Amino acid sequence: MSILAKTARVGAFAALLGAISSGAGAMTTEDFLAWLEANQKATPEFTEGEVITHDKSDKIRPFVPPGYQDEMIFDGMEVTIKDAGDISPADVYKEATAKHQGSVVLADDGAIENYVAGLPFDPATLVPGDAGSGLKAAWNFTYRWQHEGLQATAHWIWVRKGGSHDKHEIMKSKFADLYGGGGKFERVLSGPYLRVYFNFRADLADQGYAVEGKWAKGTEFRELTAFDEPFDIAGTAFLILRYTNPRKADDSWAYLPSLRRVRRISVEVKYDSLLGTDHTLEDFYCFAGRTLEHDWKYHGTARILAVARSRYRDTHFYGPNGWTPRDDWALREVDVFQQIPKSESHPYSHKFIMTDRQAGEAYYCNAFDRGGELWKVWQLSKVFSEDPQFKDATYTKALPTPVGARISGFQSINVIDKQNGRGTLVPTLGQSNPDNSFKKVRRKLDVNYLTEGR
Amino acid sequence: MRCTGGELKEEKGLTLLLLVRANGRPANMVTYNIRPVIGFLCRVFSLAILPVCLVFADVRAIPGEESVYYEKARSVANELTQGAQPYDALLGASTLAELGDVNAYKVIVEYASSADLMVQRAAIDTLISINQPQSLALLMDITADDETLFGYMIGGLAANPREDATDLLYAALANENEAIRIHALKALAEVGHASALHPFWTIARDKHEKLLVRAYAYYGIARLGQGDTTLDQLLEIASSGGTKEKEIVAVSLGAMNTIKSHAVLTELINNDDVRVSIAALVSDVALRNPQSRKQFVKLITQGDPYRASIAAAGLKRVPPDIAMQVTSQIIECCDISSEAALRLMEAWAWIDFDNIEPVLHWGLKHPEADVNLVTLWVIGSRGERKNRSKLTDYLDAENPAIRGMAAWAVVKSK
Repeated sequence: MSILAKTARVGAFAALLGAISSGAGAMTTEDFLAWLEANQKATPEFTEGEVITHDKSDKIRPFVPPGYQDEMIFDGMEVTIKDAGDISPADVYKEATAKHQGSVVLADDGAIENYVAGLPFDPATLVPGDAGSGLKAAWNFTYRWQHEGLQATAHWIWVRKGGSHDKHEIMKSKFADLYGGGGKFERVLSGPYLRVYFNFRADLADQGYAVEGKWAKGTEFRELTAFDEPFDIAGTAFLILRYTNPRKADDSWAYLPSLRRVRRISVEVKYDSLLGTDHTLEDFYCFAGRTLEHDWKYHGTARILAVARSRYRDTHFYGPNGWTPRDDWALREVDVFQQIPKSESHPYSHKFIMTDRQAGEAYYCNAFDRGGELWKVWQLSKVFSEDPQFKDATYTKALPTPVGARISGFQSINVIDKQNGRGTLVPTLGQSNPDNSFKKVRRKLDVNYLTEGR
Repeated sequence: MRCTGGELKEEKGLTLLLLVRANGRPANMVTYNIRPVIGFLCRVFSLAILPVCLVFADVRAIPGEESVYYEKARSVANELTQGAQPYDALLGASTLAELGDVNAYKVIVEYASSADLMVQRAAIDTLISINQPQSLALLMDITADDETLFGYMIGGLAANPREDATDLLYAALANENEAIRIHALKALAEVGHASALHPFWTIARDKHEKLLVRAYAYYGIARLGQGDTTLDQLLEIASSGGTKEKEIVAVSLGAMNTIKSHAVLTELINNDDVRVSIAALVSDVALRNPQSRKQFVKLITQGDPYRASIAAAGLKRVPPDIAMQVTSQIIECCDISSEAALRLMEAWAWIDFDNIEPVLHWGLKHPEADVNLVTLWVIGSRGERKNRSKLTDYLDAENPAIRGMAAWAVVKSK
């Protein structure tokens, strides 16, 4: 039964949380923790199917992370409350969890050991303040269910707060319906994104949970972000290689078509702004870095409103700045944990991450600058792969995600720079988590005939 | 010599030494220009006849006083091809394929089926780089039923076009994928055959075609020397189109030296979008505006690595004498970012300037290994025999990529 079926009074919490959200001055860590404490005591007042408008927005404040409340709550808002139901991972992942979770341990340095596949640690064992629970939450997020990995074409849209994008070229394109509301679009790029997992694959139990072949050895995943533009450097692509050894640093590469090879780029690039966006490579999915490069702190659970099961195939934006999803919002139980970079050169002092207890995916994160003030807020929208709207790609052709994959599909990641009044939207268009069919490709490319007759 | 759209180009005949086999052993050595023959047969019959082509057409290095270079290059390439590092193996294989080694193709095609998309793409780009007709036949075959690989191939041809792929590129102009049509237009524009004018005009005038695709068609027309007739249409696209269209217009205007085009470029240089602005700036440098040239150098030397690298890559669109002056100025004055240095060096593969000794010297002595690597690639790409002596030391380099690229460059610098 949905927890939204229950109604109750929010009472004084809404007022308190409203004050936290809209209070004067920059938001601090203490503000976030105060919101979390209030959230944990709050009871939802809204009901299933209710459309929350501005006059009733106090109902939802306790369940929207600070920093995002200002973006979600505005005159003209429409937040439709809809339970997401069961969005748990595929059976193969659950089976791997049941089979292997008991063996997984943390080493003294925080590295995960004996991990095979599935969810590494039972979330029920996470305790706020416990030294190991932050790490366990981080490893759980790292090894959440993602099938073979995400494949998508993404838009990268630089948005300046205020103004209008009605005359932007994209509004003359087939994508215009996606980009409602205000906000000035300063730049739009597009390019393919791909991440393929090679090891810890719950769907490959019969072959040792790993892709066969020499490319898979020692590799957790490879991630590709490519761009067709600008004209003079068209074809450049970024590649990140994550190793299965948690203590081994990533390799980062840029592919150069003329040299027909990749060149190693500084791992520091992960922390730099990606092509001038408000994202870094490490910010994909809220966190895509290496767990051991950070300290972790677990803060308990919260219940937040999230686009966990979008009514659309692709994100539809609206609002004064055009960076808020117009969609169904579900109340989800999330684990709240804190990423604290060990490197002093890291741009963030820390980041709070909120991940779905059932599906494992992140819906929000809040990053603070080195001065301890809130800097960036991410909101991520998900579409469930088993829903009818997921079956047909609306805008861009996508490989099919297998039925039963039960993926919380990566619909968009949207970051707002609270200090500089801008944001970057990265909606994926036609995303999928497909079967990559390596064997099929190999069969087609049988090369033995080349030497026939010799 | 043959006429291509109003300008005369010298076509390098592929004169090969063939070993005509009899009873399994080489019997006679004969010299043929086999490119048209093999090219035609492989295109018509695709891979069905490739083994035959390869058995009877085994390309050998020309023996002589420099054969020691070839043997050393072959040895390095062999070593890399058998290694586990895919990019080095592909580099080695491409060197061997240039020398006519059948097994080298096998290695490349295997990597084209890699689970790693980057390796797949590198394999496709490697096949594109091999100046043999059978490499094109292989490309056509392995991309025939794979949209992703086909996209890589056309995209790769846009970056490194080859003349014998024009039929394939013409066919790609009808592809339903907009990106593939654009890549094909760009590749055909770089190839520079006057025969492309007709399809370019057809696409440019097609009101049902996407504006960006039409912009690329106009770019192709401009590249073929008929830009003056398209100026008004380009300006219309610049005013009605978005960022992408404006960028292509900015690039195209670099081939039109008129008062009007200068004025439009000045406007586009001030565009809010960095792509448009830099593309226009480079075009204005191409039109010999000294103020833009100063700004161009400043951007490469002082801009953030991203903008600096885009500008540096644009050097290839600048007239050779200005490109040399700009490069010399940068080499003498500044330590630029490694990314910009790499792009600056890379551009010299396409710049038609006779003596680039100082640039090559700078590239080979650069502290960044990847700049050394791209310098070796430039030497090979330019195919200048006179620079081959620079390569010998690098054949023994500790870095396998450097060794491999030196070997490739030796073979390409015939």
